[in-house]
Formats: sequence, C-alpha cells, structure tokens
Amino acid sequence: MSLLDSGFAASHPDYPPVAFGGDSLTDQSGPVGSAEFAHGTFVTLAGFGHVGNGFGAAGPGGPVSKVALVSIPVTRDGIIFGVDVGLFSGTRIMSTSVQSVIPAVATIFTSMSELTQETRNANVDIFASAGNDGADVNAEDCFVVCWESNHYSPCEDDGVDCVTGMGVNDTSKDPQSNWASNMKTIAGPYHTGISNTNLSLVNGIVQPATGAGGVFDPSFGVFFAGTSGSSPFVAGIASLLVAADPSQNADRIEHCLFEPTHQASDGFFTQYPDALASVRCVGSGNSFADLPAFLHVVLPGDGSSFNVNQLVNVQANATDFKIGQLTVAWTSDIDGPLATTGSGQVGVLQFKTAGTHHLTASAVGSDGVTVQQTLTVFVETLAPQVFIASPPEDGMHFPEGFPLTLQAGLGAFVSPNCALFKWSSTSSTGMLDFDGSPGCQLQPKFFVPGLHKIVVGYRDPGTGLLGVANRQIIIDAVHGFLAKIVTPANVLGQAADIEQPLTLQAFSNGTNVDYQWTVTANGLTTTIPGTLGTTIWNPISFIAESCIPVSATIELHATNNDDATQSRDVEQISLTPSAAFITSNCIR
Amino acid sequence: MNVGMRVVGALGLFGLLVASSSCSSQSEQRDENVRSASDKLSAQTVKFALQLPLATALTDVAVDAAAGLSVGDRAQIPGQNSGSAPLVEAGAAPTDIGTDAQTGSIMSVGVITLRDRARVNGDATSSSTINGNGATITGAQRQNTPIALDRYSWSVTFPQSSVNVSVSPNTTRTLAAGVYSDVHVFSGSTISLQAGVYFADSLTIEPQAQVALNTTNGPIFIYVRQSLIFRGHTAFTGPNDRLLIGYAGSASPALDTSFNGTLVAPFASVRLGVGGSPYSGAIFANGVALDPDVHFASRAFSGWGQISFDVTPTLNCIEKRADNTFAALLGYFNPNSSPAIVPIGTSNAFSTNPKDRGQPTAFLAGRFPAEFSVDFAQTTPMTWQLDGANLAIATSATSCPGSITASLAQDTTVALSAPTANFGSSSTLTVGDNSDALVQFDRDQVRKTVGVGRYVVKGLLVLAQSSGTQPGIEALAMTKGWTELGATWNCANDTDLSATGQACAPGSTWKLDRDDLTRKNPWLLHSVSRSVVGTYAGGKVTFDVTRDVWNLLGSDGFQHPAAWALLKQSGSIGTAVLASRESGNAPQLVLTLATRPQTAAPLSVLVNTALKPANSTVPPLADGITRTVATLLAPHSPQADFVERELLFNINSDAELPPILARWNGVVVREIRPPADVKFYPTTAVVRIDTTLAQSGALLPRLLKIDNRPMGANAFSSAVGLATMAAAAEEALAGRRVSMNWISKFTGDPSLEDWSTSSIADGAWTGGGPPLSSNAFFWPGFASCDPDPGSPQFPPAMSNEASRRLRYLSAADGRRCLACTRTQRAIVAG
Repeated sequence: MSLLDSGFAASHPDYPPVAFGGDSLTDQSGPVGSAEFAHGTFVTLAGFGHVGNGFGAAGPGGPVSKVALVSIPVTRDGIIFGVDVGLFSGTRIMSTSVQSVIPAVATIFTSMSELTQETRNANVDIFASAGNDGADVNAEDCFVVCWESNHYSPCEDDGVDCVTGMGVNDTSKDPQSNWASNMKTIAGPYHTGISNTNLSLVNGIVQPATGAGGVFDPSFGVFFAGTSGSSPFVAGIASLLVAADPSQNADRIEHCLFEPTHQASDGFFTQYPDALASVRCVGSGNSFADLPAFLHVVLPGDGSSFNVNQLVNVQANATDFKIGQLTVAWTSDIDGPLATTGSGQVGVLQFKTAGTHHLTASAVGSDGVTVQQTLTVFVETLAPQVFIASPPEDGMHFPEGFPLTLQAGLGAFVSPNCALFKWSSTSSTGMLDFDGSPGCQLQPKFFVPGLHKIVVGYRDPGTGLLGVANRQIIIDAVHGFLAKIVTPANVLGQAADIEQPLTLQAFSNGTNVDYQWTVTANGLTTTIPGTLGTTIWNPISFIAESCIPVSATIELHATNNDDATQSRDVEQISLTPSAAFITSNCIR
Repeated sequence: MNVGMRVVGALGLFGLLVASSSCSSQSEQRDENVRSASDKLSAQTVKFALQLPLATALTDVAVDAAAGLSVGDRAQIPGQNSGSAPLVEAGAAPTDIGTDAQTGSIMSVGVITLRDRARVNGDATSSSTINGNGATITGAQRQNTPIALDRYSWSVTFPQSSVNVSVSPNTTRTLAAGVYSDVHVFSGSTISLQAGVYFADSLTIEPQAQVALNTTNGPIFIYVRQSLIFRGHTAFTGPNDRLLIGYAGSASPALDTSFNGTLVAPFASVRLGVGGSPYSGAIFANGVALDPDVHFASRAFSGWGQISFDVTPTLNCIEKRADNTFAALLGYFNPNSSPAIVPIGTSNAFSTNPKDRGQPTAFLAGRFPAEFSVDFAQTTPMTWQLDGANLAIATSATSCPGSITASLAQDTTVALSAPTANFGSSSTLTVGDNSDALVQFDRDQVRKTVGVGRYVVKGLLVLAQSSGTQPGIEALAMTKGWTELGATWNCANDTDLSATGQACAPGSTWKLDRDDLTRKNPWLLHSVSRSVVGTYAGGKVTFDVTRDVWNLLGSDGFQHPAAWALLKQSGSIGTAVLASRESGNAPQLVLTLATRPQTAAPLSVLVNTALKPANSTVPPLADGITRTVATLLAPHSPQADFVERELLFNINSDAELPPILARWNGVVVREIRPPADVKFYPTTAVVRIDTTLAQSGALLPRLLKIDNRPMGANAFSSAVGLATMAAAAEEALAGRRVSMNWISKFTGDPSLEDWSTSSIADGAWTGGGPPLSSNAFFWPGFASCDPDPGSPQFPPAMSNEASRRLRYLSAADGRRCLACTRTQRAIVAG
C-alpha cells in the first residue's frame, strides 16, 4: 500500500507499520494550510489508523497494511515521482489526496493518464480523491458543442478510481464533496476519524501532536474533513481485499470492491463499499453473484437462560450479496416457529415451554439455499419477578391522607398485563387497608399512622406461578396543614419531553386552599396558578428547546385560607429535547 | 539567416540586410559612377507572386508559368536527380510541348497540347483538355480536372540608389551585398558576389563576363528592378543551388548564355534560347518558352526558406444557416516554415467595419482552409485584406456542405472463440456473445477536413447489416490503439499472422472480457444516460457518437485512438453480422457540420500580471535553481498554477530527448525512471526550457488546433508562463507526450470549524459557567456517551448561551460510543 502525499509526521503513535519514501518532506508539522502542514499524516490515519492499540481511530486498512508513506512535493513531477516510488515499493494499492484542476484549454498538457493507466496495467489499483468544491468533475460548457470545463487530475485520469465523500451519518454525497455525473466513482466518508491524540494550538492554529512532546489523551477525538480522507479510507478497504487473498490481481480487487457496493439514491451517483461483502467476494474466488447468503446471530447469546413467556430480544444479520437484506425466521425445536425479523433488526419472541431449546435463525438466499445458525438456550419455568418501583425503598415516610403512588413491574424484559397485578396492604394493627386492587399503578390514601406492609402479586397466566413483592412504609400523622405534589413524582429519574404538556397534580389536607406552582430551570423561574388536583403546563412556553436535557425544579406552594398556614413541596424533573428537534437541529 | 517568425513581412529582413552591407559597400565607392539626382529611381515596393498547384512545393517544379508555357521540339527538361522535371502552367494560357520534347509531369490550367512523339514522364493534368497525336504520357492523363492553386507572394522594396557599378573589361570586382543602381559587367571581366541580398535597377552581364558566386555562407538573392541582361557565365564557390534572381521588369530578360540559377520574373516572359543551352535551375515567370533543342536541367533553389512569404487568405465556402444568416468559412495559406504574425490593421482587416471580425492574427505554417468563420449579411459582401491580398466574400460563393461522410480507416472483429485469430481482411464484422467489432476512423484526416472554424454538431456511425439478428449493440470509445490486421481477442497487435499463433507486440496485450466494474477494458465507461446504443433501420445500425466525436476531435484525440468497440449489450439475444470496409458497403462516419455564431467570446490568451499564483516559487530541484510559478485563469476554472520554464516529457527511449533539448536549449533537470520490471511504463523527463525560443504568438492557433471547443479569455500571470504553454503546445502538436508541471492542491479541508472541539475546549469561555474539559466525553449532553457513566468528572450542565455557542462537536472514538455519534456531532441551535 502506498500513500502519496505532501508530508508526513516522522512518527505517530497511531501509524500502522510504515516505511518512508519519496522526497525529503517527512516530519512536517507546520500550520494548517502551510507548505509544512502534515496533511499526509491525517490521510494515513484516515485510512490506516492502527487498530487494537487502545487509542486513535481505526482505519479500515489498519489491521492488515504495511504502508509506504511517499512524500512528494505537490508539483506534477513530484506526483509522478511518487507513483514511481510506489511502483518500486511493490505496492498493490495506491492512494493520493492531492489534485490539480486543469482548465479545458490545457487538458492536453498533462501526461498523467498514460502513467496511471500503465500503473494500473502493472497490477496496482489506484485511488484518488475527487476534491472538495461540491463540483461535478464531468461538468461541461456548451456552445454549439460541449466540452468538459476542467480536467481533475488524477481523479479523471485513465486507470484511476475516483473517490467521493459521503456526509456525516449519511450515505448521500457530502455537500462539499466533488462528484462525477459521467464516470464511475466510489465514496468514502467525507469526515474521517483520524486521531484522538491531544491537539495543541499555535497562534490559533491547530497542530497535530507528532509524538515528541505530545501528551497522549486517549479520549479526545478529531475528525478530518475532505475527500483527502475518503480516498485512503476506500484504499484501506481495498487493502483488506488484497490481504484476504493476495493472489488476486488488481482487476479482481477492483471488481470485488465495486460489485457489492451500496447505492445511495441521492442523484449524485454515490455508491459506497460494503467491506465485508467485498472481502468475502475476493476471498471466494467466485463471482460475487454466486456467493451464498450470510447469516450471523447477534442476540441472544448461545447458552442464555430465559423464563417461559419472557419477552426475549433476538437479532441477526442476514445478507444476500445479490438481493441485499434478508428476512430471518426464528424457530425452536420445541415450540416451533416463534418470530421473524428483518436483517439487523431487534425482534421479540417468547418461549412457551420449559426445557433446552435449539433456537435456529434461518434465511433463504437468492439461490434458494437456506443459511442458518442454531443456538442452545435454556428455558425455565420460574415465578414472575415482581418488583415495586414506587415507593422505591422500604422505610419511607408519607403523610396521612395523601395519595401515594404505588407502582410495580416485572423484571427480565417481560411486559406485564397490568390487570394481573393484585395489591394489598395491612397496617401494623392488622387492619386491612385494601386487598386485591388491580393495576400496575395505584394511588391509595393511608389514614392509619404507623407501619404498613404493602404486597403485590402477579400470577403468570401461562404457568400459573405467582410472583410476589412487598414494601414497608410508614404513615405519619398529619398535624396541621400540608400540601404535596402527587405528579410529577421524583422517582425513577423521571424525564419529560419539553414539547409535551406536563401534568401537575397537587393535594392537601385542607379544604380551602390556594395552590401556586413555581418552575425553575436554567436559572429562570416562572409561576403558574394552580388548583386542587390537576394543572396542565407547557414547558416549551417557558424554556427554549436545546439539544441537551434541562434540569427543572418544580415547587408547589399552598396556602390554607382557613388558618393562613402554608405548605411547600419540591420535585426535580429533567426536560428533554424532542426527537424531532434533535433530528432537525442538532445533527450535522 | 533564418527569418523566424515574421512580424512585418519581408521588408524588415531586407532592410536589415541592406543596413548590414552598407559599411563594406562604402569602400567600393571610388570605382562607382554616381547618377545625377534626376536619374535616380525612387524607392519602390514590388510584389513578387507566383502560383503553384496545391501540395506542390516551390522546390518541386522546374518551370512555372502563368501566361503560356511552350517547350520547343526536342527540348529536354531532366529532373534534378533522374527522370524529367515537372512543369506548371498556372494561368489559363495553353501549354505546348513540341515534337520529340521530353518533360516531367505537367499541370496546366489551360489546354495541354502534346506534339508528335512528345513524352511526358509522369502525369498530365489539365483543367481544360489535353490534345495530342502520337505523344506519350507515362502516368495518368486527367482532363477537365480543376487545379486549385496556392499563391506564393512576397514584397521586395527596391531602395533608392545612385550607386552605379561598372566592372571594366578584363578586371575583377568584388561587390558586397547592398543597393545599387546600374550594374554593368563588361566582357572579359569578373564580378564576385557573396551570400546576401543585392538590389539593382539594372543588371547587365556581357558575353564572356563571369559572375563568380560564393555561396559558401548562404544563398545569394539578386533583385533587379528594370532591366536584366545575362549573357555571361556563372561560377559557383559553394553549393550551386543558392542563386535566385528576382526580376521585376516586364521586358523579357535576355538569357543568351548558360544560366544556372532560379529566376523569378512574374511580369515578364522568359525565353531560353538554344544558343545558351544547357541551362540549369528553375524558372517562375509570366510566360516561359524553351527553344527547340534546349536542355534545361532542373535544380531547385535551396534558399526559399529565407524568404518571408505573405500569408494568403482563402475562402472555403459560405454557410447559410437556418435563420437565413450567413457565415463565411475562411482559411489561409502560410508558405513560410514558421508562424507569421499579422496584427489587426491595414495588413489584416475586413473592408466593411468592423475591421476586426475575430480573424486570426497568428498564422501557422501551412495551408488551413477552414480556420474560422465570419458572420455577415447577405446584402453586404466583405473583403478580407491580408498581406496585400484582397479576398472577396459574397454569398454567391460555394456553399458549405451540411455534412461530410468519412469512411472508416480500419475495422475488424475480435472473438473469444478464436482468441489469436485476426479478421481484419474479412468483409464482415460480427457482434455477438464474446465477439466484438472494432472500428476506427482517421482522426487527423477528419480533423483536417472539418478544420478549426467548423464544428461537428452531430456524428453518426453507420454500419450496414449483412445478416444475422438485431441484438442491442453498444459503442464504446476505446482507450487503446490497435491495428486492423493485428487485433485479436488477446492483443491489440498480434504480429503472428497465423490464426493460432500469437506474438503480441510489446505493450499490446489487452482484456476484452467486459467488466464495467473495473478499469481493465480498453474503452471508456460512461454513465448509463450517456451510453451509445445502436438503432436499426433500413438495413443499417446507427450509433449517435456525437459526444465521442467531439472529444476525439479535441484533446482526447491526442491520448486515445479514434475508435469504438461495438459490443453486444448484456442480456441481448442474437448476433449481428455487419458489413466491413472490405465489403462494398463500408461503415461510415457521417458528420453534420456547422460554424459557430459569433455571439460569444472566442478563445483568447493574454497576460494579466495582476494574477498571482498561490506561491511564487516551489522548492528547487537538485540543481538548486529557483523555480518560479505562474498561474492560468480560465473561464469556469479555479486558478491553475504551474512551474514556469518546465515541461515534462514521457519518453520510451533516450533518443527522444535530443531534438527536444535542441529545440528549446533545454536541460534535463530531473529524470524519473520506472522499475525495470514494470514494462512499458515511460520515463518522465523534466526539461527546463528557454522560453524565449517559444512562439508565444502562435499559442492561440495551436490551442485551437488541439481543441477548437473551449471559449473565453485565458489569462496567464506572466509572459513566461504563457511562453511555457506555447512551448508545450508546439510539442504536443509535434506528437510528443508533454505535460506542464502543474501544482496540485490538497483535497482535505481542515478548516477551523472542523477542529472546533479543540478551539472550544482549549479556548477561553466567555459565556460563564464551569470551564470545559478538553475531553469531549465529558461535555454536557453526552451523558449517554460517557465511557464511564459513574465518573464524578461529568460536569454540571452547560449554560444555555454556552450551548448555543457550540457549533460543531466533532469528537469521540466511535468504537466506544457508537450509539451517541449523532449527539456528539450535534449543532446546538443558535
């Protein structure tokens, strides 16, 4: 593998095994945009960042490549010299991220195509970046006849695979990436993770740490923008193919890189690699279309244990290189067919019968052949794992006569039938507060001070087994006036969508009471008139939506008009941005 | 004394010569008579002009006449080396060849009459008839065949002179090149002349006088204004093909004794009498008569290259457009060996304003009949005045053809079933499964026919179908050349002619099994919308190859062959058998032509010193010499920087370099040689050139020769930069693989925005709140990305203002926090 670029740091902790060649331009680390700028260092990391060393970004070619870093001046003779050095190094893959845009009138005055075609003929796959002008490299001017406005070299030279850039979290073309309307291209990421080494500033310009004196910070990340990173990224994938079967020639590597590509329907002819499929293609020695489908179970793990009727998450990746994603069927040798999922999607199934199941995930490929993977899982008949979420712990004190939220659930991903929860409560005097009350959540009032034992039971309708949980609380006698917030309750780390109206519910032991709500967030406070029972308040009317959650303090102020006594209660809640807001405003 | 690029015509050369000869001539003054002032002839410029058939060089003919040519009985005109010499009669007057006379080929606009037993050793061509009885024409006989003529003209200015030269009998006199009035060489005397230009109002060489000609240092030009009597003898010291006498008088010169030289007498009739025979040389005159029994041996003048000829305007045809406007397709003939510059002005203007209608001001050497077009109204004829010639342009002139048809130059079939067999001589082409047809046209010929002033608006490749079915066929422009009798499935040129043997010429192996996913096939791949698929109709299959033709007639044609591979489309059924050029129904390339309306800025080049390259120099090479940089700014292009005075040549042999270095006084400053085991990879030689040798004025016409499509102004930051490209253009048109030393740029864009993680983390924070950690994982809003959620380092919430200031959060190691990538890259509103 050879990378031709303008200069490389002499060392970098995230380099793969490298050798240096070319002109004496290594150890360059000047300011961004300067002649000494170590553009090549970043290019190297984008495609070939070392893996498994605990830091830095992993380049796709990082696991397998020995890279010749060929320093070149950015003159045309420099690039030609770089290609020459690459040939001398016996490279199989070549990538360069420097480019000349030659006007139409001067297109003839570049002899690069002859050199790149002969390099390609010499069994070397060449990749070159498309450039960052957002331009169509095949754009034409027309007057009576048409001609290409510019020649992008080496992107458009014979024998070269031109690499465009995809946007962030997007398979479509990045707006800044060049593209080609009349030429085969392949895309890599426009923003490539290159480093998490510490950066420093010199005169306001970001400097890469070149090792000597650089303080290593394992968690700091840097992204490199431009097709300069896209080209080595794709070249890195190509080097995986070479590693998969070094006996394959450049034609085969190129074929297998391009055949299983994904196509973005963005109007810019963006296609991007499927590295796994390409590696399988080149490793098989077969035509890509003849490869068998591929299936791999992600969830559950082999040897897992589950309850009967427990909701079990399952996930498998199933790909056919000809028709794409496959449907996965999940079958137990005891319970029979259980579920179907899309490739990569998380689905849910339930085992009906206790015992040792052989769970098989299967998919049918385009050739009609079924591919499958079988796991062994253990299904037991256990009582439901009932827990009480509210009150969250024993020994909590609550005032007499106020609604208390009781909330229960089932563990192990089981979605309960709320009607099957049955609640009962007994005071320390043996007096029954309530018995057999159904529901996942209740709001009973307790009028007897002292210890109360609350029990909730859930009988699994399939097995008939009963699960039980209990909680002990202390009811305190109320002397005088007291008001409490019923909802929102400061339990279970409650959060609310900032765009959704919030229900504020107040309660007191008074009969002639004025209520007032106060909300404080981001250092600002607002007051909301309240009533007994429910008040609806819209947080967005007060707090501007941001891309991060906002912590809010909600206070209830109550005044008993009969004796002018006052009471105050406080809860905390997190107001989160809406999903729609994040999608449209927070993602670049 | 090479004239080089002409700027002001012949006058400058002759003036220079006169000036350089003045010193030596003064020493001769004492022997010369001085005319009285009233006898002096005033200075006068005379246009010497002659005509020759197209593609006939001045050195090709022995006799060229315009008002009648007669060769007396038994006269002989042997050729310079063997055989007989050609004759030309370029006017409408007759050509008469006497009984038993022998000549070379004859081209005559007028009637040719061949007397009894006359013998023409070659072709006889007449725009009229050829009459004869018992004559012999060894070559082709063509009657009523139009003969197009090229005009060769140049201006000679006779300065005023009062210096008479009289060489007394039996004396010897050496005369320096210069200006004289009457030169009289008496009988028995000798006058010695040297290389240079002599002007005389009259020249008299008496019988028994001798003209000693020292041509060792170059040719001798003698221009005689009024009277020429040459009855003496010539004696050469040096080559004997270096004498030219230009005679401007209208009276017949007296050539009564042997004359050995080239005589140009456009206003006079020349008679060679038998008394002076034998003669040698060449005669270009108004009329020429060779007396019976004269022996006139052809000897071409070797000094034509030192004459600065006029550029002659030519009218090709008139195009009538669909909107009833007219365009004249014009060209020129520049007989010089170098480009000529004729600026817009009295020597280069149209007669009705505007004088400048986009005509060339730089004229390459040679004949270019379709160089540019000029729009004009039907009712307003024009005249193009160029170098003294007036070319009338009217709508009544010949109409331009709407299309031309070119037969293919090569075609063959290649088939996987017979991978080593060649089918180049077959009368059919077969397109089917693993069987492709290859077709190629003569790019240079088509380019020449179309010219620079015309454009192909549609190009159709048409093949007749002989038999078979009609599968879908795609035409793909090829990237690798091949030979008709060598192309096989395995190689572009198999030199083993047997069907089963194979000997691929070096570098000619190729891969024809189609794989559009790779670059291995020797053809260009287009997007689906640009694919060229044939349509069947009327027993033919037609491909619209317009765009390919555009490219191939432009720059692409210098890199790729003008050829297509015709492949059966994937999934298509059947086999098509098409007629090859060996059949009676050859494939054709039908080109619809048009001129460009003069509504947009034509291509131009200029120097604009306000332009600056990104960097003024690049690091020196091993020789340490400073390498300066220029820039080129073209329409719709970013600035393209390149190294001045450097050209890169791809060479496959060291023998290719010496002529390059000689032309440019060049030095190889870097040589990049490929590994020995990489075959066919060229060596790149970086040559530093002397740009003062470049013909900068010829850059524009050369660029148009290369590709006439681009338009608009192309500005160079320096004259040296322009000269560098001018040199490259000259080399490219000479067939060399030349590149300018372009400077590349990064395709990474490390803008500060992309680095704002560091900027924000490390910079001062004005929005208040807690200081930010340089660890992006600890920034607020990234709780779910925290690699250690329980870590106490997680900071309190960022202020609202602070979050609005956060523009771009690029951070995180995706391996550890895949799920939160979106959030980590969030742009906070604001």
